[in-house]
Amino acid sequence: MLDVMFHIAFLVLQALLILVPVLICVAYYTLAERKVAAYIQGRVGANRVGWRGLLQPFADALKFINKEYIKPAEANSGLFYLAPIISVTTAIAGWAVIPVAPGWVAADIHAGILYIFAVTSLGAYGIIIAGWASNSKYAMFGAMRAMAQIISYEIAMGFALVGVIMLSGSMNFSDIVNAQAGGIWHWYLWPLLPLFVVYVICGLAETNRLPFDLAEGEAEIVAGYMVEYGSIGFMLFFLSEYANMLLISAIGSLLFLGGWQSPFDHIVFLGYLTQWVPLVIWFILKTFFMAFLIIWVRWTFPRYRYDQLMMMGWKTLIPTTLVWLPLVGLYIKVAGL
Amino acid sequence: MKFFQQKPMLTQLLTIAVFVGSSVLFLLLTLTAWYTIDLPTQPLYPDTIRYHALISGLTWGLSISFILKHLLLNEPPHLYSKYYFALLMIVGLYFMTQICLLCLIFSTDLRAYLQPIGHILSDFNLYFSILTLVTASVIILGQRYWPAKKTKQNTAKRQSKHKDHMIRLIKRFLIWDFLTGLGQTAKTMFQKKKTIQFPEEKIPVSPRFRGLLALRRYPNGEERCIACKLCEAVCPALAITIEAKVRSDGSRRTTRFDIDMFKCINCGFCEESCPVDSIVVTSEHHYVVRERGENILTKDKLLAIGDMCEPKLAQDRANDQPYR
Ligand code: SF4
Ligand code: SF4
Repeated sequence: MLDVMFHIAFLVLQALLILVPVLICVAYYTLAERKVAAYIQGRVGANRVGWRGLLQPFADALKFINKEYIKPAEANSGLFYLAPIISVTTAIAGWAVIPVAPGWVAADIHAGILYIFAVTSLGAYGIIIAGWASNSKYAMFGAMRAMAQIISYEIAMGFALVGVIMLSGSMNFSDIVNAQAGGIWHWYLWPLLPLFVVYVICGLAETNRLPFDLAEGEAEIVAGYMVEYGSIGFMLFFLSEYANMLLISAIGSLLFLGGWQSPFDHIVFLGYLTQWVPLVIWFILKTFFMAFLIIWVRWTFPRYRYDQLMMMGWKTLIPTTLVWLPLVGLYIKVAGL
Repeated sequence: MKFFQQKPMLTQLLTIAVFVGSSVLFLLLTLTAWYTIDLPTQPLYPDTIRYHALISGLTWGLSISFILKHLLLNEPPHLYSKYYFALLMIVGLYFMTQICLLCLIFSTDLRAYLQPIGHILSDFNLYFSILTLVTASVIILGQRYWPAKKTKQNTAKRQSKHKDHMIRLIKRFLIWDFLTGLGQTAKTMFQKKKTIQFPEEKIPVSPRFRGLLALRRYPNGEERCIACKLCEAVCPALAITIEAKVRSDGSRRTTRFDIDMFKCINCGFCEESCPVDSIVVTSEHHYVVRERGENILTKDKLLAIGDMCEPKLAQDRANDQPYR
């Protein structure tokens, strides 16, 4: 009995160890987004709450919590409350298989990539349920767009990840990272550069980020699937969106940027100089770089039109991956990896 | 030059010969370089070197023959010129890395220190080679399969169309537009910020700014207004309400002077119409109305505002004096 209790306590602790840092990161990611947006537009950004605005995310969260939770009269109440919960759960569940340093992973399962895929696809249910349950035309349109977009881009993204799986011969994140050991030129970024670009673009589309945020398109459908949500519901959607973006960045850094591997390994001088840096730091830096890239892209490009979006997904990204995968195969064959 | 220009066939053959020759030469060079000198540690991709060398050789040959052809025929790179130069630049970079690599391999002393850099270079080398090959083949194929049709009327138009098509294709392949866009925002990110931190900093206001209204007094404390009601008459928004009576000393004074801030459009006509410079628009514009009814500025309030703003008013007028 005590054993079981202990085990459960351990599991809960593990979950908290993932949950708390992820939530804090998400909170500060929202601030980072505002700051980067401001900087790109020549502004200063949030700087009133706390030192240089560092407490702003908490002020925002408090504000959301204080607001009244309004449910439209015609909405389907059960599903309406369920949707944000599904969104945020799936967004955070993905973090279970992300290794941040050798051995620092909650669930070191063999098919980590498959798991991530399954979980992030489940997240789409949150969106479509929200769109359906709100009983509003804008929400419905937003959900439909989001679904179409996620389905089309998941294919290209899957292909992009297939390249990584081919090169490393494994679906386990730790194995994939270990296969990239030995400095910056061993990262899969180089042999798989086109796939990396495809991955980043698909990541933007999967998380409904600009330039692919048709699901939210403020100008046409107000806020898309979350138009009827306020207060905590909105906050949860917001949170899941940012958690998903961070997840995409983390996966990108694991699969293409060598995860926790130092970029300076085996470089005579720099490698020696940077030996003391804990491995987690590299992972965090790479993830943050990817996350920054996502923000950067958002504040640079205007939104795609819907047909352009579909055309890009089906006629550019998927063919690119389809061409590059045989090349990768050839490369593996020739290089005898 | 003339000689080659008159014999295009010969030039073509020569170019091809140079291409094959330099390709093979460079291939052999790279291969011998890698194989004759025994690297102390394992090279990066032991079995890909041949493959590596092949691509390098091909690219090198291609670039040399490209340049040679254009030199011999003395023709400027006309059609896809921008991308042609990009290609040449890539070739130049590639050439540099190749040279570095060879130097690296042949110098035994530096080898231990420079080897990691050599690895990076060799990887980039491979990459540049592939890029050059692809770009070159796209350009060659483009010239071959999408030539500008020579009809009499719209040759130029068609040419530009095909050119645009090719350029678009290459740009799309290199996601060129996206990268320039990102570069643009990256630049702005480090520019000086234009934010004005409002409560602490304020935007400079013109001395002629028409803000909150006020009633002025004479230096001896007597109110200026003589209740002539000109302002009430001129006000286009009917914001002013005045009632007047004779005061005990016999002068005519207002008993009521209300301005509705909600109606007032800050046109400044009242100031212009006033014969004794009593009602004025001040440059004060940071004010709020917190409760209903506060929007009516009574006589007392207006006089108080006037007292408050007098120094500022004097200053504004002094500043504006040269232009009146
Ligand atoms: S500023 Fe114009 S609108 Fe306002 S009170 Fe004077 S005359 Fe009327
Ligand atoms: S125009 Fe001047 S003097 Fe006449 S009533 Fe108005 S404020 Fe008084």
